[in-house]
Amino acid sequence: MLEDKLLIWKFNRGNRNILRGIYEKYKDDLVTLAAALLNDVSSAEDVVHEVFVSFIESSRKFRLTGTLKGYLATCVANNARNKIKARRTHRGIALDQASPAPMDSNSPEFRAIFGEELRQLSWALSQLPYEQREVLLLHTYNGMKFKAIARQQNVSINTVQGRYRYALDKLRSMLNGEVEK
Amino acid sequence: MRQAEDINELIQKLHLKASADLDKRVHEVISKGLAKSDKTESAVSQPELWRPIAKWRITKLAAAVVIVVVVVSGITFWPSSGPENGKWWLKPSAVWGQEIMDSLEKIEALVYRQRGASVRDFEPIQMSRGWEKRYNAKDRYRRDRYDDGKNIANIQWVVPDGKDTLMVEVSLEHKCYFKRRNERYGFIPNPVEELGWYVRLLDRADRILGTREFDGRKCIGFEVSASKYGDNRDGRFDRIWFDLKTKLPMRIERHGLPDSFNAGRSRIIIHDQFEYYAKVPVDLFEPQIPEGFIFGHPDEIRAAGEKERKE
Repeated sequence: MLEDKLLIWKFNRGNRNILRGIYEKYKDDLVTLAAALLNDVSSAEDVVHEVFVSFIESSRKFRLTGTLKGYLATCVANNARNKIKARRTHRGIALDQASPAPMDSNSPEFRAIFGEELRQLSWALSQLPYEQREVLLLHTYNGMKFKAIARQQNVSINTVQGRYRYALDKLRSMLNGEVEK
Repeated sequence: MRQAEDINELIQKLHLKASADLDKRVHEVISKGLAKSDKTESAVSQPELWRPIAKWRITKLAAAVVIVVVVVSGITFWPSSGPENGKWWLKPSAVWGQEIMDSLEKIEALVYRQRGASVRDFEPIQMSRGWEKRYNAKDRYRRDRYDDGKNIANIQWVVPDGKDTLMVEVSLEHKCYFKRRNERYGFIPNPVEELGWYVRLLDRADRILGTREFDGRKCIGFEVSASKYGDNRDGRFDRIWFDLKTKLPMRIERHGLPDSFNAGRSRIIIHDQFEYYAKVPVDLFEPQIPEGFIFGHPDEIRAAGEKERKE
């Protein structure tokens, strides 16, 4: 946290080279988040790339108020959401009506993202509705507070907490089903 | 039972490494951004350099001489004329990896053999007797099973049928066939992407295995630990071999897979005998039911036969 503040302090004082440090520090977490949101590694990398392009372009105006990790995770989530919306629009389906894209647990993407031990988890995640998956990942994986997620999703904190609970319940029943089969 | 806390812990374990390609793309963007902000990237520098060249005949001539000298004598950093004497794999993987990806992009279908082997420490590898031949395009699939290692015992097709997929399986052993809608056991939706995934792994390869001949073609191999792309157990590693000439993958070995049926043993899955098709050979994917074959699942036919024998 202190390290982040130092990074941002240097960055805001014109040390643009610090961008490399920021990228190196968070790249893996951001790619993982995007991949888990999109079920697709190459799109995930595109999202992270786009996030950094925008970050660099807006860097002159940038003033961080929250955490750097939270800020970047929010950017990734917004970008991933736009990508999903674009996909759904292309197929003529609304975001909240869309069933999750099926994932083959033997696909290279799965192996690439999570290895063999976590395949079931990634499969179960891919079965969750997008909104729930986003809340769960931002809260659990990125440590974002419900309040911040509510702001990002433009919904009430109760809705966010509800989505989190539903996601966890569904995940638990899917994983227990898988494990105890 | 898994509790919420366990699931949270599991989610926190998710980890994917950013690829070298992404690193390159982002660092390029950062460099450009830095250059812009430092005003070191001069948009006018190129025209400024070219203007005098274009203006005076003598400078035009000098520039032409420089170009001719460069072309004739060769440039040491030019990808195909380095000091490696044709050993392209010794150059940075970013160069030849992209070439392989470009070649793979032209492929619409591929055929390969899948074999398995069982391994225990200090014992010779036991190759399985049976194997499969797999035909794979983006939207269709065929699998021929050679259970005895010589004769086809079973063929399965998965082909598009309107919005659905149709699976047709023919058992030559039981002289029967059956059909299922939207079932696709071994179908890989994008086989070329599967190969591309291996290619992208190569910048993390642990070692180069040297050259060996497979299926009559000289190949170069790479070994990469599976821990590089996930939380795979110790001893999991992959080997991938590329044709020296075409640079296309010729053999993939996945070592150290868990063997759930034999404690103390592990498995190797080998994909080899690759054939690549620029256009989908549609006839290879057309389900064909031999004359006289009856409709029914092999299990039902087998059970009926056993019942008949008992009676």
